[in-house]
Amino acid sequence: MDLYEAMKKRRMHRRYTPEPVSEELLEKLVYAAGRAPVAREGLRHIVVVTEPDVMAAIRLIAPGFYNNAPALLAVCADLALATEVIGAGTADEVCAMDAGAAGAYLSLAAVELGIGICWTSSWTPPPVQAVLGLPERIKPYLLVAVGYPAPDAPKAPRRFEPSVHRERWTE
Amino acid sequence: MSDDERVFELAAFLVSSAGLTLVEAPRSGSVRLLMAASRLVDSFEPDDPFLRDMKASIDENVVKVMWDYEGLVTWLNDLTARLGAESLARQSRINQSRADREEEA
Repeated sequence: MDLYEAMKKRRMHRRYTPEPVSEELLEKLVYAAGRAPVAREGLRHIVVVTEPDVMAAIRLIAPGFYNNAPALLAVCADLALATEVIGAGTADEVCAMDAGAAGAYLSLAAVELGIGICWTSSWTPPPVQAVLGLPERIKPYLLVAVGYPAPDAPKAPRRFEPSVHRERWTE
Repeated sequence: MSDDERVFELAAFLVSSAGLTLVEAPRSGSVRLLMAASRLVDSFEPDDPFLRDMKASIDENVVKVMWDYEGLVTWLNDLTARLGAESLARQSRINQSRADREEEA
């Protein structure tokens, strides 16, 4: 698929069929996320979740994870390592940008693979870290729901368009 | 699912939301409460058309917080107005039923 076509078609899905996503496709999504820019080696960690018990627990403690997807990818970063190699002042922001890049890559890959996804960040890290068994140094930044879009999924809302300024800021 | 499990699920969602609302925009707190109401109805599956309709309406409209805040406010004002009228009607039925029982006694 043409890259710009994928950009045009990509969207967030909140309703999915119960059909599980194959390991092969999950691996392709992980590959896409892993190809996104990252500040340093060793920072990015991705947890792939398909076990129904873990999915159910995430839904209980992650209020923004509002979907019925059969799988999720948790995009995480080693914040302790980032603090060491990047610096305490910007480590968290850099890891958040890296996670956003990973999310963007897998969003585009999902279109090509015929998969639906939805980024969520409306949750706090402590309960997510507990459910996923993350070490203290590993901070989750994105929970990405993964599944096959339901046939009756509502139409995507209008896109958020950026305001573009040339050379200098204009009101 | 047992009542205890249902209560745990809703309590977990509410407490997790409490942590989240400390760092979210206030309007998101409204969304968390609406989602909790939806989950409550979903969990106990009451034989109550008003509650089922309310849940369906919540599920359809709550995502407006992301792109149509004014639409969310308009919908929520309408929903709460209907909830007020429904509350009054139910209270009237409860009071009438109580009065009937007292009269029989």
